[in-house]
Amino acid sequence: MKKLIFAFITGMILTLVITVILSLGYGVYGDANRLPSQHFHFFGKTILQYNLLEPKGHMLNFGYGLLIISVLAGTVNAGLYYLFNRPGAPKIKPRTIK
Amino acid sequence: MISPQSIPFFPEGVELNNQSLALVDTQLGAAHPLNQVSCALLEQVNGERTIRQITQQLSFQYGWDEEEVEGDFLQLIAQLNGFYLVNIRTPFQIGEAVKQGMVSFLYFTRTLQGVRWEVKKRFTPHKKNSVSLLIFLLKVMAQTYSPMIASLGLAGMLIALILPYTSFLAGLTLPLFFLLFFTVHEWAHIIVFEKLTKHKLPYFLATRRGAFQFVRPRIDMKGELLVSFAGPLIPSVSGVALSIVLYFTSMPIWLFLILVFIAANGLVHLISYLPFAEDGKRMKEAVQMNKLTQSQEVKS
Repeated sequence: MKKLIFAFITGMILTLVITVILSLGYGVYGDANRLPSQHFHFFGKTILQYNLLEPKGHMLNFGYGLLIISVLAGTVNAGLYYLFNRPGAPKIKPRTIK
Repeated sequence: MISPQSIPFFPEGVELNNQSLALVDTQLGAAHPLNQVSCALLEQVNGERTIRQITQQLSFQYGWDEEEVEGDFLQLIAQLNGFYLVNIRTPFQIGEAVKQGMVSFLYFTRTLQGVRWEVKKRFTPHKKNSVSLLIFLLKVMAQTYSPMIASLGLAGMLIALILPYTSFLAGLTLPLFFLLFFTVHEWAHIIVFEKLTKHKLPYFLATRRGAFQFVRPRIDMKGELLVSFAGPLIPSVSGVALSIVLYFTSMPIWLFLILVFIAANGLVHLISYLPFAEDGKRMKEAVQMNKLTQSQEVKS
């Protein structure tokens, strides 16, 4: 159980950090190329709102969608951990000798 | 991950004793008992033959079931590797490298957990002076922490892009000083241990997936405290001193940000002194052990 929770938290935090870094990168890229303002959703919840400011600069707003994605990723990671380690799971064995 | 194509070999300080059926660790002064079959398999380990070649040869010789013996031998090698008694070398193969990469990624995300996904490597540095030891450690740490250094480098570059007044040089200080301070940390542990024991007690260094270890026998309480305390000392003091300088001195913003990153890298090592961290735990254990010994002496 402890390892399952560990897998969930790691998946969640890693996804959260990576998504934030990618969003920040998108902000810089969008600003440099003067991309129009964008709104990213996930099941109706805001992940990121990118607003291009005039005459220069940009503004990013993060939403609850980011947390939903992270929790989902954590669940998938914990699920995969369970799949590999469930009782009766096939052991990863060396290739058999023919 | 250990595969049938891996080549096992005994590191320095580990000997197979056929008569007493044991693997003897001369550096830590420990003997690991073996059964006759394990001993027969380990006798064939010479640093050239793969696990599969050894099992094939012995299975043919004694009429054993090859598949069963290979599985058992892999398990034995994995166990011994976990105790730093066998080192593994795997010849480069594209398929194997892809598999290793996938395992590394899943281990990083903690989808895979446990020692069976790790391959440990034990080695003894034979360096004449502390400078050559430091250079040697720098190389080992760069190899061990390469994914972390690359991630920090990328993060540093991104910070330089996003934060105003931050230069690429400031971004680069993150991975560079991470490597430097961690190397100095381990180097200080080794140097103080060698000085205290007057180079008489053996030790060895070990690496595993994303971690470096300095494995040594326990010494008296004062020695344990000094060795554990010495490691994080130089990075922590550098971090604290630099923070004080930054607080009281005015300087150009770009230089200020570079020094902030260096100070942050140093201050991180203060965590090592906390009781849950490796060094803090060792110091706590040394004091507890000393108290226990004293109370037992009083009773007797």
